[in-house]
Amino acid sequence: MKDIVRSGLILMLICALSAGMLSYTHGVTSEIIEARIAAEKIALMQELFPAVATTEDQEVDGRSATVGYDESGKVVGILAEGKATGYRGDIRFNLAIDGTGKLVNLNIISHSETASLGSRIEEEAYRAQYEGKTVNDSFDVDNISGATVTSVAMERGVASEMKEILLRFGEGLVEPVPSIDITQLADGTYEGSGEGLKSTITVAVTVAGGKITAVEIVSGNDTEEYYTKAKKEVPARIVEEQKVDVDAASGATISSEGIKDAVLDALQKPPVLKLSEIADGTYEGSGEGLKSTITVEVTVAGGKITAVEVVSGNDTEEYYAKAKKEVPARIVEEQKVDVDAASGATISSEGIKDAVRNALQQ
Amino acid sequence: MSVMQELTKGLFKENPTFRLVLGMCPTLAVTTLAVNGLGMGLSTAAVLVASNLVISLLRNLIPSKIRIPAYIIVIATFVTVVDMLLNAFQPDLHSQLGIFIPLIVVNCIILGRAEAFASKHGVVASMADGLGMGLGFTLSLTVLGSLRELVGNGTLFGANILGAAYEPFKVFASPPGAFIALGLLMALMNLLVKKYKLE
Repeated sequence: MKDIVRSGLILMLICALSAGMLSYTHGVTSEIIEARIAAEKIALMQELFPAVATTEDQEVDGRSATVGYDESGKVVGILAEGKATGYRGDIRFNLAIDGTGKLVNLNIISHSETASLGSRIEEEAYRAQYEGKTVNDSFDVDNISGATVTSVAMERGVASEMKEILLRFGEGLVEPVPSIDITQLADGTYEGSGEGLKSTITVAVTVAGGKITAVEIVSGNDTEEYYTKAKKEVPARIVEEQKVDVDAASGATISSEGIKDAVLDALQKPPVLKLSEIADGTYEGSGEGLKSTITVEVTVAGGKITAVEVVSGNDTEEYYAKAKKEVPARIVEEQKVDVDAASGATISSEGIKDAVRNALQQ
Repeated sequence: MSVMQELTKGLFKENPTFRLVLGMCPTLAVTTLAVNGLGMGLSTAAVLVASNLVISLLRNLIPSKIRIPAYIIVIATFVTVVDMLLNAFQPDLHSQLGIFIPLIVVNCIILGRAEAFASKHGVVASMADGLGMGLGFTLSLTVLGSLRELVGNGTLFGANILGAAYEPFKVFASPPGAFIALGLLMALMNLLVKKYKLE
């Protein structure tokens, strides 16, 4: 017993001496090491963004980035990691975005794509195609032949990750997308489209009582093998979970993303009117013009719009007269609300269209 | 044995790398360049001298039951100190040696000398032993690193020796080359020992 206590005390003494020595050395060296790491980071950032004077590591919503500031404290560069789901696993990359929201450098950190096909995303010539793009540009670059899935995953991944990064660190360079509150959506059918692997996918989403009751794929022509799986699983999940951002069908990520994008696109637009379901009668509705509220009367007979009359409104006469003349005629002719605006009178035209839509939704 | 003999035995007769074949992990891994071998050797030597000194001082205090944990704490402390100092003052070497610096803790040369020598001998002899063994290790690693760098890369301590026309044996810069080079040097060492009856 005495032996154990003595041994323990001796070990404790040695550990205490060790701790003292380590904390002293740490005190001497830590400042030097930190200063060097900071200097290295600034040098790295300066290589990408010459104007950088100081850097700061930030973390927002689970994402971290190194943000570089110039001498006046303005953001001149953001370096952050992004991720895309490739053919055989995650592709991780670094995005360097400058203060104007332009992509300066794309650097692949790791991937597990097929050697000599998908792995060519590492090549300078491929990566350089992304340089200079902003989130508003098209990310449709030259694909790597034989590696469509990898190529498409990169295009989508870089575009969406860049947006995510700028949302968090870009200080107002990108506006956040308003989130959709499904319970607030008006009943009706919504149509929208999204990009699949090889084709545009169009969906029809039915909303009733603040719930998504059905998601139907209207058109699309992706590789059958994956597409069938995505078509089967994703719409069912959206209806079940009552949200758009559901898990992708495994092995069919890009088709799944296309369907999800299409649903999101649909729900951001006003519902599609089914004229055949509207009872005969005259409907009144209103919409906002340039300077006034425009009121219209819409007559429906036998599932058709037979007349659109502008009842009141007081927009600038010069444009308004044109819109009043052209838009109602087009609506009757084309039997749909979403017709072309009268040229030079866009806002008044939209006002009339909104009013007609409003009338028909009642 | 005199202090001088304690010092010199590690260089040749009991050379840790070529004769005792201890500490093979860093020996094979970091000796791609002569300067890495030298840096690794000197770091190990510093830890060896310091730990031999402390363990020799504490040899009558530490009960034999807990001697191994006690030695390891002492060794780990000095390794961490060396790690921090290299990181602060020799960052390039530190990043080249990487994980092998913290792994000096488990280098059997150090624990071996603590157990076999420092725990039984006086302070001066222990320091001489540590220094000799450390320098022997440094010498071996530098020679091995020089050979691999020269054959595998055509340079020595970064200076181009063999000229641009030399086509390097890249294998010597890779892990299998480490075994080949080590084997060749061990054979040479054995030959010398036999020829000059050094045993």
